[in-house]
Amino acid sequence: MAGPAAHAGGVRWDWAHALRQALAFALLGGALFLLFHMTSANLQSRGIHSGFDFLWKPSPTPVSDSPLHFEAGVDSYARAFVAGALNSLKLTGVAIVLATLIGVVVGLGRLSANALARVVCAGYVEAMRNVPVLLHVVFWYSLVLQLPALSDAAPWGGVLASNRGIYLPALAFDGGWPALERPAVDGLEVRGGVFMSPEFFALLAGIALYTAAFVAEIVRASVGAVERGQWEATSALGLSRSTTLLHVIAPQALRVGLPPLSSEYMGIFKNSTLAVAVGYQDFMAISNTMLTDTGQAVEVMAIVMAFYAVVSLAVSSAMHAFEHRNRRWGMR
Amino acid sequence: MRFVATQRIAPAPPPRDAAGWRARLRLRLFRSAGSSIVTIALALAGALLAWRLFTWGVRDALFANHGPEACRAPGVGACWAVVGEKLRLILFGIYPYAQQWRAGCAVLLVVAMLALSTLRRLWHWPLLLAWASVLALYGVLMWGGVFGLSYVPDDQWGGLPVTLILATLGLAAGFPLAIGLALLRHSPRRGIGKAFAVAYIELTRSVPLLAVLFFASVMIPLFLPQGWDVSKLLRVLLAFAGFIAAYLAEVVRGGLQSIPKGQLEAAAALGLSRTVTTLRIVLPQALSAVIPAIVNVFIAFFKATSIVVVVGIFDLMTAANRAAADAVWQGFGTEIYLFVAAVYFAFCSAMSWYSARLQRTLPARGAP
Repeated sequence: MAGPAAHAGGVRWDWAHALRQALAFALLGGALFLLFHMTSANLQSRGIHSGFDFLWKPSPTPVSDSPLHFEAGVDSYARAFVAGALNSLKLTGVAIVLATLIGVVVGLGRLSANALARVVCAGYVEAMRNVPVLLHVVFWYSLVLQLPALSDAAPWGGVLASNRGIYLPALAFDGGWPALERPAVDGLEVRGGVFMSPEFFALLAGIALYTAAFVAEIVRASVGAVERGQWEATSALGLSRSTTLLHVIAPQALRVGLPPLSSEYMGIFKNSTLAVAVGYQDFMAISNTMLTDTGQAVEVMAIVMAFYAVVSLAVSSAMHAFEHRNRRWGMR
Repeated sequence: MRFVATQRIAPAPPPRDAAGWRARLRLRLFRSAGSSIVTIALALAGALLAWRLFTWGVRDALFANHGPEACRAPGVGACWAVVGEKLRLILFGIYPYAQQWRAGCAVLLVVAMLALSTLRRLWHWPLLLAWASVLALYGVLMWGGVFGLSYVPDDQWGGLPVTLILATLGLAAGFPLAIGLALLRHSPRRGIGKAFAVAYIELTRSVPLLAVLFFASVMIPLFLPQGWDVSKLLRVLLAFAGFIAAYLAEVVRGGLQSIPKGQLEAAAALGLSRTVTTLRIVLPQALSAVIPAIVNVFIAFFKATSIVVVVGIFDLMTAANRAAADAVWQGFGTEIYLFVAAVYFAFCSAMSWYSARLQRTLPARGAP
């Protein structure tokens, strides 16, 4: 903490400052060297060969439920990492959409003129956000596993729910015309529809319902941050409540709400690692398997940290740029 | 036309449809057609849900423990007997059964201390001293090995005491680090210290807690000289403290930024040194400005302690998983998870209620 007396960037050569910097450099460098030395000595004594060349060797562990085709024993570790990353991003993307939809409805519900809607939405937020997200996920997982077996599952509104997974109706293009394709049980298989494994469903439901409570609070706060005069002006102009909300309030609220919203989305991305707890093969779970397979702890951990840090830092720097642009325009 | 009142005119009553409970009800629930539809739909759905929950959780539920077979009989709803059966396992994990009164006392101590800490007139140095002695007492109770208490290694601890100690000790250990990082990052001078603080805070906040916990349990043994070992609980606690510190540092930095520049100038004019200015003028104001935000970080990390499941620490969440996986009482996971959710909910909602109240009642600081 430098006081106001300090010459920040002054021309005078500050010996005390230079000395402190040198000391800090020596301390940090020494600590890093010690860590490096210890780790390499430990790895050597365990007979672990370090380096990233293991990435191109075939991986014996299968990866399921991935958009990328993966064959165990043939495809490389690198491909397994990519498959895991795609699974993480798939889960994150769907959860963001779902959490935003629910969150916006609940957040606007808390601002509704209808007292019952306000109470119900407030109750939702309180009940969801005061329980750990992992508990949400595990709870949904235990519920899905209690569903009937596929042969006994009765379709309900086109949705087939069984303990082997959830099948949703899908939009199919039959000869150019879009049609709703309902999943149907055919012997031991299910034809048509979109499949969600129990693990994916539990993670999606748990993370989306939990984060929706926080999104709702952001929606409420950012709509509340728009001046009251804006509502009064539009009602004086004779605009309806929904037109006002969509064309006057939302654009202004979005500017206030987008930065906290983006950090909630990053929270979803980071919480997708909870996949480890229910056995969905996301990036973290696959890395964990790789680690026990190969014993390359340092390399695998470096890859894991780099993956999450790069994605998060990219999003947060984009957000900073967005805020900076808004400030330049003289907006909040 | 002129009118002069000769006596005081009593105020007219409000129009019939603007006062009274009926009018208020109409205004709040049936103002328009859309509002009426929402009200009716929500009321119906709520009533249906409440009825289903009541029949499942109360009317058809089994409370008395007649074994798992009684619960599996057709027509039986919730099996709350499983919660009673597994209560000790859920709350105290695999702590030796005969010694669980010690774990219970430790929980009561920490909870009582948390409750005392909410009283603002106790916010003085003695409170820190009291916390230190309570944590020491916690160690004595849980580890034992003295005063005739048998020794219990920390890999046998479990349940609520572990959750509580991870959250409180993680925050307490992370706090000094957080203040240091925040001061470094806030300092106007560029240098290695500031660069380190920025890198540490940004990198830590950009990776998931779960990855950090894995990192700690895999990498810390590699960092240490051979023959040294750190117990799994301590490893996780270290990771937790380091992780919380990055989030707390940003909160503290917010407080530092709220201090008006005039305070520093006044201190410099009085000839106070930079250390005295920081310790006696800047930090007390900065920290008290962000107390509600600190409580919110504590709530977030109280919930996040559940993630230690994945590295095999026996906390409340792991205990719930273990109880739900019992072969004899299989299939009653829902009841167990609902019970554990209620425990977390009780702690977190009490704390968030307190944080909201603090935000309302704490005197606003800053320039007048």
